[in-house]
Amino acid sequence: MRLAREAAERPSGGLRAETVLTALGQAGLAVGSQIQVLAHTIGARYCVSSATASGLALAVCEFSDEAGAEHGLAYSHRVFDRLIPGRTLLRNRSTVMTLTAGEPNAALLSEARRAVSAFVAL
Amino acid sequence: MRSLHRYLTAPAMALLVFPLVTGGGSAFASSHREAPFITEMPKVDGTDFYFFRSYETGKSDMVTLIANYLPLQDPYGGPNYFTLDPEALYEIHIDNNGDGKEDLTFQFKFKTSLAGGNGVTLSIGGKTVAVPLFNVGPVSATDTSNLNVTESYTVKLVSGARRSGQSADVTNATTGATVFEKPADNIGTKSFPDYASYAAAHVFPITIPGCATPGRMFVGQRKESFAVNLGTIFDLIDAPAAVVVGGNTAEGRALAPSTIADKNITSLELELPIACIKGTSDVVAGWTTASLHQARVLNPRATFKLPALEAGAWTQVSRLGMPLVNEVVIGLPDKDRFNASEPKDDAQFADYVTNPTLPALIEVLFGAAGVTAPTKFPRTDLVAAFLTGVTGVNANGSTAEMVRLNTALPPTTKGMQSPLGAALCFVNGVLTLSNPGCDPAGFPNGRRPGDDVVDIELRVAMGYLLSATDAPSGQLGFTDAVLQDDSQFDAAFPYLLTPLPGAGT
Repeated sequence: MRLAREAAERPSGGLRAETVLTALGQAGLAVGSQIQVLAHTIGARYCVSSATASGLALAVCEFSDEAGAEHGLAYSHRVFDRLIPGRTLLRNRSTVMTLTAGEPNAALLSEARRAVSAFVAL
Repeated sequence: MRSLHRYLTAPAMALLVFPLVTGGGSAFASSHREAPFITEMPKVDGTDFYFFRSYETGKSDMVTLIANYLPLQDPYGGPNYFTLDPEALYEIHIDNNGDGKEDLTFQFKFKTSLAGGNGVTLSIGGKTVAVPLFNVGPVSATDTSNLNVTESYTVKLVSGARRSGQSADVTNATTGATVFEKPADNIGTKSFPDYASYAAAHVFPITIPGCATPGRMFVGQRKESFAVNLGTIFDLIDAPAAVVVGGNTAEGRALAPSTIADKNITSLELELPIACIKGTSDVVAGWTTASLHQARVLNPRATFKLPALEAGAWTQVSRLGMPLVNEVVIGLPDKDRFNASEPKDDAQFADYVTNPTLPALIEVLFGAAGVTAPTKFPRTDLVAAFLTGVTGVNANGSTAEMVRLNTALPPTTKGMQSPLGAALCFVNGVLTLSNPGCDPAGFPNGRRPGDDVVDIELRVAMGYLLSATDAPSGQLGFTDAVLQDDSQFDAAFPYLLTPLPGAGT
């Protein structure tokens, strides 16, 4: 099905979701288990979703190239920002990370800052 | 890597993901055609069950129970239209002592007859020939002589176990009759120039055995009361995201039309004095079932009166309490078993509630944008919502899927009801009656026709009752974008609207 197709047609060579989540873990975030989610939702090629123990939602999406990632990031902002408050989106080459803090608090914001630092350093 | 298969077994995934991502028609329609076997028996397919403190002026000491059957009726569906099954037993159950077993059961049995025994006839070329149509002229509240087919029914109240308890007739409080007429379906405006008045003549005052105060009863066709649009929710390609997560505004909850707005339904409705149905607790629970005889032998020489011979023990084939449970909670392998089961035995289905699949599917669809399913298991919040009731509100001691109503909570009048019902009485799982929009008289404290149960259940499934830590997306405005509210219903019994006509306007 669509998830399997996206997994099979995953782009090669870019910043991979596993690499991102591993880096977040090394930055001290208690990243929970991961699930593949539909990348098509924001025009990506492959996405995974996870959450930290304190409730910071993470989505990491791989695109075909940097232009595609920029387009997907803009699309996600345009469609979902007003629907899902508390999101932070970042792009590193052809990969987009979305952080969502359901009810922002100091701990979540601290986690988000560490996640951002780890992501941009990759 | 956490695999999707941690959430979904392969068959369940095939069932659920396919309709979700392709737009699965009517699959997400409360309980319309929700299990494989019941699709073969639409006349006994229970679709929605409502149970609420009556909000008609002057009736606040009553409760109303509505059991809808026979889904997706196209109003033009003649010439036989939508009679109920004369070989079925339709039941509305009440548990008033919190053990998950029925204490009171209203049993409805129907009979379909031809006018005069053999139907209306015409003399054609010297021969007397029966006509093929449902009616042969206009029908009104005062003149039903043109009906070729009539339906009647009897109702018994069983106290105790439904198959072995003490049974007594429900009677017409005015005439003492035990047989009630069911109005014919709304064939069209030529056959029924004033269907509303015709149907209203079939609202009967009833004497309930053991109850000093009379109630009221109506059985007949109504306009479909449920509203939903599955395809728009889950069609990732064509549907704007706002359709799923844009429901934190009234406008966002009304973006799409109901796909079943052009259908009718058949309703069994009771208005009963609270004092006559409640036990020692104010919390009373209800559900509806339909049963058929265990054996059916087709008559090779079928007649109107005997198309088949049915015999044997009553066998339950449909069950409905809380909306959408068998639709989107119970897995495909167990849907038929759920329909045959009783609330007292619901422990067998507990995994579907404590470890639900629907939130995982929503995460699959919208996780790329930041939507995350709750991470806390077992989902005790869902157990409270679906199986036990909420402590201090409508819990009654049992763990069983039923519609629980705290009859001590006053009704909210039409026009003042919140479509999100009592769900908004909770903030992060804590009962907060001061929360804006809180309406304790609504779902899941009972269920009123105007309660938007799709939106409520989507939100609860995604963790509305949990903390943000356990449910990062729990406060998002999940919605099917189809409006359901009290403006779509009457302010008085039988509440559901006059059915759509098969022809004319």
